[in-house]
Amino acid sequence: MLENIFRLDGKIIVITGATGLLGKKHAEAIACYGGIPVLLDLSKHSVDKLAAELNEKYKTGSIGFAVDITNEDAIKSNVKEIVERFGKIDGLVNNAANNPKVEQSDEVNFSRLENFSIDNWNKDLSVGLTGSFLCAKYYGYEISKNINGGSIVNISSDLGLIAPDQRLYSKLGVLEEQQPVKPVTYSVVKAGLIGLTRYLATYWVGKNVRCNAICPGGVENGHPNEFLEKVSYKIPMNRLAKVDEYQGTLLWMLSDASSYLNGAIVPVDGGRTVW
Amino acid sequence: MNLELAGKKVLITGASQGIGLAIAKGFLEEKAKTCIVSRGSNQLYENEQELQKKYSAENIFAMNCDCTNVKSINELQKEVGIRWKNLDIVIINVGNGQSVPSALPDADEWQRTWKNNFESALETARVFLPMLEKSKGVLVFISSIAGMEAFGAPTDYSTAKAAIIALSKNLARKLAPNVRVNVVAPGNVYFKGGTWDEKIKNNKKHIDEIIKANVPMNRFAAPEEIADSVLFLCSERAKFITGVTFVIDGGQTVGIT
Repeated sequence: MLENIFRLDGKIIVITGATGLLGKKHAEAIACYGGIPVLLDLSKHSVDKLAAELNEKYKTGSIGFAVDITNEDAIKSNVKEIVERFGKIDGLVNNAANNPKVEQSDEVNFSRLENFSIDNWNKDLSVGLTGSFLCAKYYGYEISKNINGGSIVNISSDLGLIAPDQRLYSKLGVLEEQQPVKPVTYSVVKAGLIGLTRYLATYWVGKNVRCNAICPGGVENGHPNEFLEKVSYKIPMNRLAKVDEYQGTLLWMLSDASSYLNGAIVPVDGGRTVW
Repeated sequence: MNLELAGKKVLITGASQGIGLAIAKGFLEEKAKTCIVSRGSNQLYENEQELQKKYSAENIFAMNCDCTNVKSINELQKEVGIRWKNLDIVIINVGNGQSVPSALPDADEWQRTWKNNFESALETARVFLPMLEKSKGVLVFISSIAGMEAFGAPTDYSTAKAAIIALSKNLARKLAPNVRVNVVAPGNVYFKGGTWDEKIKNNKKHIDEIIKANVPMNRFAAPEEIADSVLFLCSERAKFITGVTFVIDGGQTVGIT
């Protein structure tokens, strides 16, 4: 039995933002351990393609849906479709978020707080927080109907625990008031997910639904060397994460291996938040 | 001969291999834009990637669709509408000749074959006709010579393929002059991974004999040979042709009187 505690055989697990950099890896980990990843993202083409890849490689019954998770009606009908097909939902990975790249424009830097538009604020919160709430409301509720409940994993961030060090994003030769920054919505969304995690961890606890959060550090993804050097200095392990270094934690949280883990906020950040 | 297919937007179902894939390549060679559709196998996306490399990413995309499911076809139509806004040509190629040899297959088997071979074509046509009417486009069904004569193919398959020909003629008459509707009826087509490939692997000698006895040209058709006719029928060079069935069978049906 012990050797199987990480298995997810037959578990129907919904992943939002499934075709993103980390979403793909989450889906792969689930499929590799016998689970059936249900892939949600905006593009039907991308989710179908990923499902086909996973089905070919892992012989799982993965399926993709183009769902805008900020649209309550879309989620409602998607839950119905999933339950009609599989009869249940066992897990949810709230992974979708706008990841605003730190950008620099010639005139005004719109990522800066003093220029940050209410429109972008609403958009980012809508995907990261409202989307996660709606997914909990529908997919989570479906999980709570199982006799053995299930597991919800929220993907927060090290920046849900600490402030971004804006000096990391600064560019030489750029005026102070135009320096690029990590937008305020990132911190707010990721911290909000920690609140949602604690709320959900206790809300359905009588129904055996556990909820935990991963706070991943940054992932190496073609960053310029200058940034890598600066950011590594802030991380005890002296590097960013590899893209597959969150799969283990995710499997642990989704499977029976973590059957007594609930409401945990787990930084997986090479030690960045320790310093 | 200038087919004037450049820039046309073409949807091809059953395009993960064989005839459908050859048709897609044919259109891409003529500088048309294609959407290749099948039931979401990894093969489909590998084809997409390969074709994108050769013909540039903006000219080809793949879509997962179960053409026996109306909801799935509607989703496909929505996506095509978003990406392309309009559509000029639809090639309905979904089909599967595998059934049972009995004279009259039982009701379940019949229903399954009918759904795969006729209803899928019917519903795909139903969903996409409004776009074709708007663009004054072209619809081509891929039937089979099994829909014309009783060669010994499964009864349900043969009947479904015959129904496609009847459907096409009726649509051609009633949609003229706006949409041209035609059928291509291939004979025995060989491609790697196809049903004939499998049969040859099992008993090459027997298959050789069948071909020799039945096909005056004494060989299989290549998918590209079917594709060429489809391209012609969709082209401006065929603009007075509607309601026909093009038989491409190396003379197989000629011998039948």
